[in-house]
Amino acid sequence: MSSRKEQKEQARLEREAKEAEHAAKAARTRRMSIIGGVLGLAVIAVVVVVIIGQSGSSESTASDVTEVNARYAGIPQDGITLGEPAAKATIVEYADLRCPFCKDFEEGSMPTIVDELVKTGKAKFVFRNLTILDQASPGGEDSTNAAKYALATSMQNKMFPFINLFYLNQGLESEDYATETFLKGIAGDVDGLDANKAWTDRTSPTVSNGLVEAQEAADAAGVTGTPTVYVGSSEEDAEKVNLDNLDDPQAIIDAVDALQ
Amino acid sequence: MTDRKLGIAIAVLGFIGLGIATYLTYVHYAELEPICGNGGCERVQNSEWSKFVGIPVPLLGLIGWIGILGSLLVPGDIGRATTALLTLFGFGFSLYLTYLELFTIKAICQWCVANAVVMTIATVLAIVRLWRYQPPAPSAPEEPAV
Repeated sequence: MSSRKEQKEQARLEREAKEAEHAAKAARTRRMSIIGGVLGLAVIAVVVVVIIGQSGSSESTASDVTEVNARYAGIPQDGITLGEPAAKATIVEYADLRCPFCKDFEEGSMPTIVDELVKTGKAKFVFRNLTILDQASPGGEDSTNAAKYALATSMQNKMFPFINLFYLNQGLESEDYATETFLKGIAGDVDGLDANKAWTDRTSPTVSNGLVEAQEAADAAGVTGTPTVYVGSSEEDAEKVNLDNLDDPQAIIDAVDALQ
Repeated sequence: MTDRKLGIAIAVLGFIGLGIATYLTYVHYAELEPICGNGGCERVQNSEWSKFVGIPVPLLGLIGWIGILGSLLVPGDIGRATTALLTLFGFGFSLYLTYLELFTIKAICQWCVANAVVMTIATVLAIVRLWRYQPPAPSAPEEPAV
């Protein structure tokens, strides 16, 4: 009897141990499923964020195109100069189209400069296109390709809306993107600009001379980075303006006002 | 570290993260420059990446930390899984932002790095807390009254 009781007790203990083992295994599986689910959801959420972040960063929309064309409509453009030739003040910007800070300046300050200083006839704006990012990376030619095409659009007096739209579509500094398709695609959005003619003109002496002139002017002015802005009664007399905040053109406005 | 201590540690990290995000959100809307040793914060703050779908990134961080702190109040598996999910998402987002700082913006913002470090530690603790959690054993049925 005692032996049968012991056997029963033994069987009960074994059953309980098995049940406990099963329960522990089920709990482990459940925890693993929860952690797996949490990890999976987090990875999906981050991937979605990265895709949205990369795709939505620099695309110009139809309303951007309309706004840019409207901003420059009716303002005199002569090559790399925007505004009334007789304006008392001259603003000179040295920039590289692929430089992200130049994009910040374009988007943060340029609309105010165009509306309050250029359209009012207080100042004319000279854009000196540099290729410092190519000089900084051996073998780099993307900034040069962009600058050459931009200078070619200046031969049709359409450079300012082109560079504005270029900045809106600016790609990553670490990547080459100023291809024929990219450049012509942007040029195609500029009212009155012949994108194919600009593509042909980019190899002209006018364009290569323009690049050299920009670099010489930058060297003479002591430009070390982009964007750098100078204001004066002429380009030769212009003095550097400190841009503490690329979104705030107040220092430029003050310098121009001082010359009126 | 016990479950309770893990929760407290995540809460402490949450309040540190909340403080950083609140400060960066404040300087964004007040149009101030954050206190910064190397000028990198201003470059990051002025870059196109300072906003995500039009929302300032510090504000997203603020909302995220409030969510993490709130999830600590939810009991059981659901609360722990939510904390882990939010911290993991925050960790992944911080990783992406750090990549942008290093390779795209080419400037480092110490506040963002500090936030990323706090988020990384909180993520590890939240996963350990979820992994270790043992649901309370069902209480034994009461003895029938005789």
